[in-house]
Parts: sequence; C-alpha cells; structure tokens
Amino acid sequence: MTQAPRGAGIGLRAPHHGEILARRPLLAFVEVHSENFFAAGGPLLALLERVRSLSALSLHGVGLSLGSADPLDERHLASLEALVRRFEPALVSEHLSWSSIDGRHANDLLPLPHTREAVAHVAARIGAVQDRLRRRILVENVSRYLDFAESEMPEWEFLGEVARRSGCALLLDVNNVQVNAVNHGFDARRYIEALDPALVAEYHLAGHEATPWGLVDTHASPVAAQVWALFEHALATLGPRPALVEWDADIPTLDVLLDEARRAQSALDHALRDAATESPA
Amino acid sequence: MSALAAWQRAFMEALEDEHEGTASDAPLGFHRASVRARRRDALAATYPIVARLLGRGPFDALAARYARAHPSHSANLDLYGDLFAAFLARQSEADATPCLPDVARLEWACHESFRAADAPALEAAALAAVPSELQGRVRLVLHPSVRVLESAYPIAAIRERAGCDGGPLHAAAGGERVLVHRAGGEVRVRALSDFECRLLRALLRGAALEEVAAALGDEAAASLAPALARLVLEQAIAAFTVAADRA
Repeated sequence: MTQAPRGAGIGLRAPHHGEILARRPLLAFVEVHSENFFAAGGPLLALLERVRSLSALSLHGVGLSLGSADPLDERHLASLEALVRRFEPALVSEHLSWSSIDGRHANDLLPLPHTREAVAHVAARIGAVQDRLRRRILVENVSRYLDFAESEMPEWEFLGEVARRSGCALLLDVNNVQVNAVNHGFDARRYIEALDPALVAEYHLAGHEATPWGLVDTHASPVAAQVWALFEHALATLGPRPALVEWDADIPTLDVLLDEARRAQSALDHALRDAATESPA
Repeated sequence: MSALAAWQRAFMEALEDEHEGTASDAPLGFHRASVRARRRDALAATYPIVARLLGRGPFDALAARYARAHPSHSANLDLYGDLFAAFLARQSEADATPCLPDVARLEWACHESFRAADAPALEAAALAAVPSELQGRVRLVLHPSVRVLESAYPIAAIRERAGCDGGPLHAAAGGERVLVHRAGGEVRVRALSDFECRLLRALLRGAALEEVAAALGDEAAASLAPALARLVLEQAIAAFTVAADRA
C-alpha cells in the first residue's frame, strides 16, 4: 500500500486521461471511480498503472450499494477486491448510500433514512467489505433532497455512528454538507463540529447549482465560495486531510481543475502552518 | 432489516414512477434527474455514433425509453446498454435510419473489445516453427478482444465517417463484414472479405487449421496463408495449441 497522500488532488475523468500522462502535473493524489476500471484488461488498466507511478492513488467506489437491503453484490466486491490487490491504492472509499433493491439498480447514490436499523445494517456491511479487502475504507456522506420522517437522528450523528460501529474512516464531502444544510435547514458548521476529528480521513470539494427550490449537487461548476469557507472551517475544526476536487459533468479543461486543486492545497498549507504554530513539536 | 427493505422498495418505485409533468418535481425529481443523467451518459459514452447520428434530443428520448424497457441489472454501468441494439431494432428510429441497430451492435462490440482481457500477440516465428506435418492440427487462439460482425450496411464506413466529422451521412450501398479487435491499446475496426469472415468464424469455433482449410474450400489454397499472416500481423491472434492425434 502506498503512503496516504497529504495534499490536494483531483478526480481523474476520461477527458483528461491522455493529458495527465503527457503533462504529469504535481498532485498529492489522483482519485478515480473504481467501477471505471473494472475492465478485464486493456488501455484503461494500463493508464491506471501509469497514473499510479505519478502520484498516490485513491479508488473511489460508486456502485457497492453499502446501504442496500439486498445481499452484498459478490461480483462487484470481487471486481473491487481485484482492483485493490493489483493497484494497492493509498485510499479506498465508498458512499453512505444505497443504489439497488431486489436486483434493480438506480446506479446512483440514494440517501438512507437515519435510523438505528440502517446504522446497524450498513455498519455490518462496511465491516464485511473491510474484512474482504483487508483494509479500512473511507465512507462518504451524500447529498440528498429529501428529509425522511423515519429518521431517528440527525445526519451527522448517523455518519458518526456508522463510522464508530464499523471502524471505517469518513470521507467528508464538504459540498454535500453545504447542499444538505441549505436544503434541510441545519447549520453546516454544527454538522462539522459534531464529527470526531479522528474519524475524518479525506475531504471532497465540488460545485453545486442554486435553484429556486434549493441547492443541487451537480459537480458541474467551480467550488462555491460558501463551500470554500466551510472547508476552511473543517480544516480548523477537524484538521488538515487530503482534499480532492471533483468535477463530473460539463468537465472543464485540466487547467481549471488544477487551479481548483491549487486553491485547496493553499487552504491545506495554511491549516498545516496554523496547526504547527499552535502546537510546536 | 425488513423495515429498511420495504422502505427502499417504496423509494425505488417512487423513483421509477415518472409521469409527464411530475417527473422533475422537486425534491424527488432531483434524484430522478440524477438517475436519468447517469444512465443517459453511460449509454452515450458506449454509443457515441448512434448518439451523433440521432442528435442530442432524439437520443436522450431514446435513452429514456430504453431505461424504462430494460432496467439496469448491474452496479457496473459498463454493462449498461447490452440490449440497446436489439431494443433499437424495434423502435421507429430504426425505420427512419435502418442501419442504426447494426451501428449499435458495432459500438457494443467496440465497447467490449476495449475492456477485454489482455493477451500477448502471437509471434509469427513461433507458428512457423511448428513442424509442417503438425501444421494442420494447429488451433489458433484469437485475442480476447476479437469480435466479428456481419451487417447488410457498411457499418465500419458509417462509424468512421460519423466519428470523424459528424457530417451528413451518405451511406454507400452494400453490406460489410467487420473485424473489431484491440492492438497497441486501441480498438481497431476494419472491413473483412467474405473469405476472411468465414476464416474468423471457423477460428472462433476453435477449428484446427486442416478443418479450417476444408471448410473454406478451394479458395483456401491461395488465400489462407496470406489471410492468417495478416491476422498475425494485426495482433488479432494471441496463441496456438497443437492438438494430439485423435483416436
């Protein structure tokens, strides 16, 4: 396993595959969607070998459906396991969500009701995945447009409980916190302050779109000013962690993405300096 | 456990229950829109030529109909769209542009070929080293990325033209037999002669070279060796075995 990255990275998407190898930008890490590399062979896997030689690698899954009431998808897990064994990534992450029931797949990250039953269920499944992969995984909070009457606890408590019970780490998507806070009327800062800093191992940053109804998590625009501010609050409250800029639709030039990553790196550098000033070794 | 399952079942039904006028209503509509976009994008990534030939609006409408007719059966979106060509053949778009289903078949073959397992290419010298008395018993193993298609339309030419400039299509008359395979990290598509197509079909069946030659008839004497040499050069052949004497 490679060393966990310390700085900022970008989510690598198909339009930039060739360019990133040609330019070799200095990045603390590169994150890819695990499922995009489930191929048996071919140039995608060859590309990932080369990317891995340039910077630390993070495998970010979108299809494991950790929260589903269906049995764990054995075939999917086997593909993920093969990928993890071959590439020995620095980070492996998934989402605190579900995407399938009765074998029907939405292929999207659907929110869970924040119930004690869901905590127990998803924590057990994360445990099974961690046993299988023989490593700790990171689990990410997702955006949601609905607040469920069934929920028995606030989202931050749900997230913390799942991590505490399963032993997983948290991938805190700062944009998703902001989107959910605005849409469901809670204090984004309070959400962050409620988390155990020891559990948080990575941050995600992405763009959203403001609509008359509320915020929509689009990953199709630059990181919003409020999200940068919330990121700084997270860095001060929870501490510096590897931070990743995601852009999944209307993907811009690599330069635009690298500029966003530089901004994240700069915020991380400030936080690291502040941390050093406050507690000299 | 059962409460969560029942809850998810109800949520999935609400998600899939799209009616005119309510499908994009907030807030469930945002989840619906996201699901729709992921499927549409996956289909457009696998079928870029069909998408280009139809144009954005008609392709999106077709993608929405496909999603309803063939719900996604895997968490891996690479597998989404496996039934698209057959579905397309039953749609009005195929009445207007009859080559579309076969173009879709070609694109699915390319999609599979791109992701097929790796294998070393066969060295011509290794094959030449087989003693001549055993040559007939050689069984060639095609590269895992090899796909062979036959169409009543010039699908390789259509793919090439639509892929280059997206300009208006002047489909030449006549069908094509097509080889799809991967070499040098790229998917390659080329038209095959009738002889080459029958040769590849025989190799795909696992026939030994003496059986291949017999199946190909008189033409084999002159054409088999050069056709095989070309396939070796193109890296479409991965290995060979030499069968033991049959009882």
